[in-house]
Amino acid sequence: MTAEPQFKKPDDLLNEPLFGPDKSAVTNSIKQNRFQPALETVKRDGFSPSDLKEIETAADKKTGEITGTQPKPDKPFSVDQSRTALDKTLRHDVKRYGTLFSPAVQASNETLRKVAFTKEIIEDLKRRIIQAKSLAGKTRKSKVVEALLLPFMAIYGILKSHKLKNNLKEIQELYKMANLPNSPFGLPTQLQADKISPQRGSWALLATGTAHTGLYVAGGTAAVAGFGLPLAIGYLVGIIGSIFGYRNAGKTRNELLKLEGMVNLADHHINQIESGCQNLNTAYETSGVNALAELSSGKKNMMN
Amino acid sequence: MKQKDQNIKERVIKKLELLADYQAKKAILNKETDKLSESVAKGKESEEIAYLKAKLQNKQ
Repeated sequence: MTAEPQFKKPDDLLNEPLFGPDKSAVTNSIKQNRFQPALETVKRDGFSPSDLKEIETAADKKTGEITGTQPKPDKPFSVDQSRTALDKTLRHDVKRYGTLFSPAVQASNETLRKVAFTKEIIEDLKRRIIQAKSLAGKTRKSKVVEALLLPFMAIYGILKSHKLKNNLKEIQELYKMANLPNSPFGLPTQLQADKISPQRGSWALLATGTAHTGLYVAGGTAAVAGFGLPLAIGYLVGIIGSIFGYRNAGKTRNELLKLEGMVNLADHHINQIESGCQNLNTAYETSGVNALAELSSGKKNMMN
Repeated sequence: MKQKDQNIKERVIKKLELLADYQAKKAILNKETDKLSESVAKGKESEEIAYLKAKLQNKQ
């Protein structure tokens, strides 16, 4: 059984020594930026001092091309001069890499700071929506009790409506701060729903509650005075008001549920952006660190 | 004379080593720069990030 022939990879072939102590082959190789094969060839014996001088001139010329510092005529670079010039050029290149790398990281970090800010608002929104939902539920129940002709419950309804109104105002403010309308997250342009807006929805709740109390008081007074009809009218208006209040509180609750869904969606997107930025930063960091580590280890080798 | 010849040979070898080393490091740097440019371009393409940045900048 014969062994399969081993073929060399093109990169290995490129780095192989040139055949024989051929001065022209070495200088041409230097001109073509193929330093490794030139080096391997020179390491072998066979070059005369004059050949080596020509090769050195070619190497100095190439170093001059790369670094922009040409040697003086008839005075070759010293090894230290070559090293310093090449090192300086490399540092310049690394610096250029840094300028490319740094704005991207800065932008990404800036986005992360903003993401953190938006996340705080979203958390607050979520918390307040839960509170508002509970208040809307309580307001709704209070309207049922009101309708069952328990006048003192109208006061409870007013208090809950008032608290709900304040909560909705906070939600609206937070919503404006996050400025999420028209976003790709699918949030609506405004807080829809007069049912959710403190100006309309909860004012209506508050107004009906106040009207009820007034009417109950008027009705009660009239009853004491012995007038049956004003009492009946007062209670009837109170019941109608309670029905409207009940419906309004229900709509508020439904709108809050919708808003909650949209805020959760925004939260999901913002988390995706956050993780995207973090991945981006890690990628930058890794590539930057890799490059610099390799360069620094190469530098150490060069110094040794 | 032999010592002088040996010196020039060592000098040439050292100089070629420096050039080869520079070339290897430069290749790493170029590769990393290409990778980074690609990441930056991809980062710029993210509409969500651009949107969020613009909106929040207006608010701050």
